[in-house]
Amino acid sequence: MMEEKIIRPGVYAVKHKDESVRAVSRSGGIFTALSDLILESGGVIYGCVLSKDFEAIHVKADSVELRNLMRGSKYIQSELGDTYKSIKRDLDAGRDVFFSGTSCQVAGLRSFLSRDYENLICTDIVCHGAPSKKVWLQYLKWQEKRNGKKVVAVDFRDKENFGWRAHIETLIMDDGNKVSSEVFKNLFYGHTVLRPSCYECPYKDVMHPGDITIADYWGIEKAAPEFDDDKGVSLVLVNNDKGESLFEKCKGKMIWKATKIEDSMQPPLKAPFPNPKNRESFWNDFQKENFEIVARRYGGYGCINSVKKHVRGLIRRIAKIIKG
Amino acid sequence: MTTMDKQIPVLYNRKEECCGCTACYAVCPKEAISMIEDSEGFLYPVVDAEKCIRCYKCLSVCAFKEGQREKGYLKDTNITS
Repeated sequence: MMEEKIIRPGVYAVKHKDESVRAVSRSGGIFTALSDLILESGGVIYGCVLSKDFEAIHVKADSVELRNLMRGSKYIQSELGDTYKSIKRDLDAGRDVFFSGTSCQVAGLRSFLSRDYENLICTDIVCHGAPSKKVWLQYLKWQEKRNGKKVVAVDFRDKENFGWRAHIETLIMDDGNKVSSEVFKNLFYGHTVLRPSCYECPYKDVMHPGDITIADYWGIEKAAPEFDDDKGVSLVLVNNDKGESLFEKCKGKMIWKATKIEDSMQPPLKAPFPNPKNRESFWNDFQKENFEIVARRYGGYGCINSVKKHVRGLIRRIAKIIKG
Repeated sequence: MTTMDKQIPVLYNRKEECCGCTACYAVCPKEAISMIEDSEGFLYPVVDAEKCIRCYKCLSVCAFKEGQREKGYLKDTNITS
């Protein structure tokens, strides 16, 4: 009998059956489902959380409560600190370890460990590039000054109020009011704020260093339109046998469908974003000018910019009509 | 030739070559590498020449440059000694 050919990566559209999990997850809740399996077996989770100063840091979680802080997207590069050494200690002690990070963090961890550990499972995210935390912190300061209030919580991508597809950041201020804006999002997509190495990232590929790669399922309307409710669908790429066996174990908690990679090719699966021509001028302005000017020039802040945006949208719509 | 006559490891020539993953920092047997923030707020490894024993584990552990080499982003191959 012919052996069935295994296709890598295995490609799946996935949603957690528990709607309350999906609501607090960036995509469809796959990170929660996978990490639950490790926690249930007495293992530990290493992942990225926001510190009280709103910086992204990697921490270790051995409970659901701590793990839950790792959900949701963080659009800044995380600090690993001594995470690699701590993971090695846990692995050598025989504990199951689940690591979640960017592809370069997973590759770095694997290289540091220098051998395979049966008790290690790594997931990476499909990463657009890592923005500077310095820009992020300046942005928060600017918002605090503008609003005359302190920021007490942040949501880099507010799915609750704007839906899964939208990309609007929401800050919760100390008087309980919310401030939603697209300034940081716009800085991010301008790519001037990314770490220089992201422009030459070797992991912008269909295959990744993680056992499983997870992402927002952009293109779901084509790949599996019946999944598309704007509440979040995970793209799951299964990169090897270890990933496959873990994913198999969580399928019971998920609604899932095998899909095609051709219908799932978001830009970071193809190539890194190039270093933008205005990167130098951005950083000159950022170091010299106050943030309001930076927000106007590069973050789409101010009415002229939003008018431009609407005009561009109108032109696109007209062009579409003309093209038929 | 004594250890200190050997060249201090050059972890990256251009900033594009370092993703800040901390593998070199973590692997150093002498804790001679610190992750220091640059003017843009990104962390880069800095080697303390006094503590460094020139074992070059920090160079061979770098998965990022290896990946870049495979993808053709790294033109110069003289980084690993």
